[in-house]
Amino acid sequence: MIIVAIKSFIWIISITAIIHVVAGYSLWRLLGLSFNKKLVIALVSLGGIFLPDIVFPITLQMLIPKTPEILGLALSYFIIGFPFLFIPGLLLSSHFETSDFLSSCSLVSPSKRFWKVYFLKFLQLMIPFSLIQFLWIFHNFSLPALWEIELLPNYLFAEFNTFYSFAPFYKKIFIIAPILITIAILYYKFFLPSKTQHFTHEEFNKTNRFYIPGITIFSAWFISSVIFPAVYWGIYIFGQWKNVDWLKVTDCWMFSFQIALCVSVISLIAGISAISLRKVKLAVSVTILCIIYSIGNIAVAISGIFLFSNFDFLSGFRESIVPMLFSLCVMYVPLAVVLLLFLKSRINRNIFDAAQLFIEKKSTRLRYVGIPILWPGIIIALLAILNFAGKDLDTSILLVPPGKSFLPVRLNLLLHYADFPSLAAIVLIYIFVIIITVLLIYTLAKTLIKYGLLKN
Amino acid sequence: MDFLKIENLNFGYESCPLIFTDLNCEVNDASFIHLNGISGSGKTTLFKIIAGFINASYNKLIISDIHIEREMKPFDRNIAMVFQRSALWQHLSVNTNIKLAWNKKIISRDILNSWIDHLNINRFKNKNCSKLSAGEQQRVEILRAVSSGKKILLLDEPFAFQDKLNLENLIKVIEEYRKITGGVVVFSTHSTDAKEYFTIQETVDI
Repeated sequence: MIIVAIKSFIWIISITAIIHVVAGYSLWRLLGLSFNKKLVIALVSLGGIFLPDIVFPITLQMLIPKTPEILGLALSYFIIGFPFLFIPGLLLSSHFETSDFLSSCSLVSPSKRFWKVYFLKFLQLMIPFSLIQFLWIFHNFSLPALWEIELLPNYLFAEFNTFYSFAPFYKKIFIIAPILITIAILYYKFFLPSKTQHFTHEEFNKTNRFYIPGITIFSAWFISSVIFPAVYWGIYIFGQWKNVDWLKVTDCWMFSFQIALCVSVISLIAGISAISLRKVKLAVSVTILCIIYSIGNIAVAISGIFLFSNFDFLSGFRESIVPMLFSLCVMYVPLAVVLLLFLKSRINRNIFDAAQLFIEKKSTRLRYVGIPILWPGIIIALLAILNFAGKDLDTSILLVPPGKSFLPVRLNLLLHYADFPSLAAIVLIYIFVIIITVLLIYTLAKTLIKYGLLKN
Repeated sequence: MDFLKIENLNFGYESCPLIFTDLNCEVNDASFIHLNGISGSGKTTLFKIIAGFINASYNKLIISDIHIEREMKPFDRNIAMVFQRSALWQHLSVNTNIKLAWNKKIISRDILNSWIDHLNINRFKNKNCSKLSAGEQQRVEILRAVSSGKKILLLDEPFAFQDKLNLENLIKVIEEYRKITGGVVVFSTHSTDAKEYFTIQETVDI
């Protein structure tokens, strides 16, 4: 156990550092882009984050069967972990940017740029996302299992599967807690905005040459994570069309869509309730979100099993979809609340104040002002949660009801039984759905910009 | 007549606890009241307290002989306001913005149309507000406020983007509105021109 833990930390810390350096470098190179261009890049990147984690590694394994496990796992971690930092970084760089921050990017010495700008001014905004990326690697068991490398997450998952004991997950929480506390202390000690220094204004260099390294890194990542699987499975299915088990594929899509839709709707109802209550604060919601991610998907799923196995009045639901819905909601309700509270914080309060002054009926206010302004953001949150819940293997793997097939779990099984034509069909449909989702989100984001809810 | 009377108003934000401490003021003979104060002195906050968007403690708040109770909802306070930062409903057309606020019983269609002509709003009245320039948006916002026919009009820095001709027209419209409603106009502005154009005026320093 100790050796596995040490090995895991070396892995996790090394890969986290690599992702930070590469994502940080490309972000720094892209800082001068206009917000619209950043938005397009961020939305295109969503394609990578919405694809199930397993798609890149299985494509790699299919194309190069002799890929060394260590390289395969490192690449998989990188491809999936990169957008956790890249997307929020790109958007936050516009949301929070100030003239002194931008101009400080043109300081002459590269080392100063890195330490004084990136670390102090930018990382302070990125700490929550770095934390989520770190926790994702810490909890993810499917990638090391797929590459057959024994790390802490899959070691503990195997221990749980063998002994059906909750102890491994308590161990995990005790291991992660001191690390999180240390990160929090370091953050408050060194990275708070008040602790960082300011620089003099200088002309910010906006030549095209400046962006090329950033665009290259982004393109390389996007080609590997989305284009490569799409092209590979597209070519593959061309000759295997007749061998696809369409009944299985349709069943799997239908069930996954129903579950993801239920989770999204429940999460949104919670989110809308939160934004209508003045007392729910964004900072508190982010803290709750971080706590849930610290506990991890599997631990949440185990708690679901525990809850629906040990209480008589709930045990009747054990074999139904309720425990699965419950656990997915625990994961995604805080995310929906955070997304909607963030949206609310961006709205010009005067718009609603004016509605209160000039429009007497609440229903008219809602019809003409409240709903039209909020719906694009609500639909974006719905689409995001729909995609995240629909690809969540870790939370669902232990809770799928008998006789049902949930998409990420089904992908694993198809890989296990070597039913590659059906796997290819699912992946291609997934990529098609993601393209439509991203286009929808882009259109809605444009509407938000028009209403002045997103910085333009 | 009490045009404006404030007694013992106290208010502070968490970050700035002492914005108003026992603020008192009384204006008995002016229907155009200029609220004067340096930037950050709390003019916008006072407007928001009067309009009912911020809760503050006070003994008495009377404007245009209307006693404003703390519990009163913003709509019931008989107040229209032009905000410093645009509060137009950007997703709606100019026409819809005005129609939603328009009180037909007080402001007749003819008067409203004459104001629309006067403020040169006719040529873009079917456009979405998000497509207007800052000056055009400001004129629409003022028209929306006056067309509501409320007795009290609060103007928070309303003339920042107007040229001289538009400014004169705006002031004519506001004066006509005041004659129709018989109410009070409270405004804050740094534009010297605007201060000079209003005929009856009292300045309150905060």
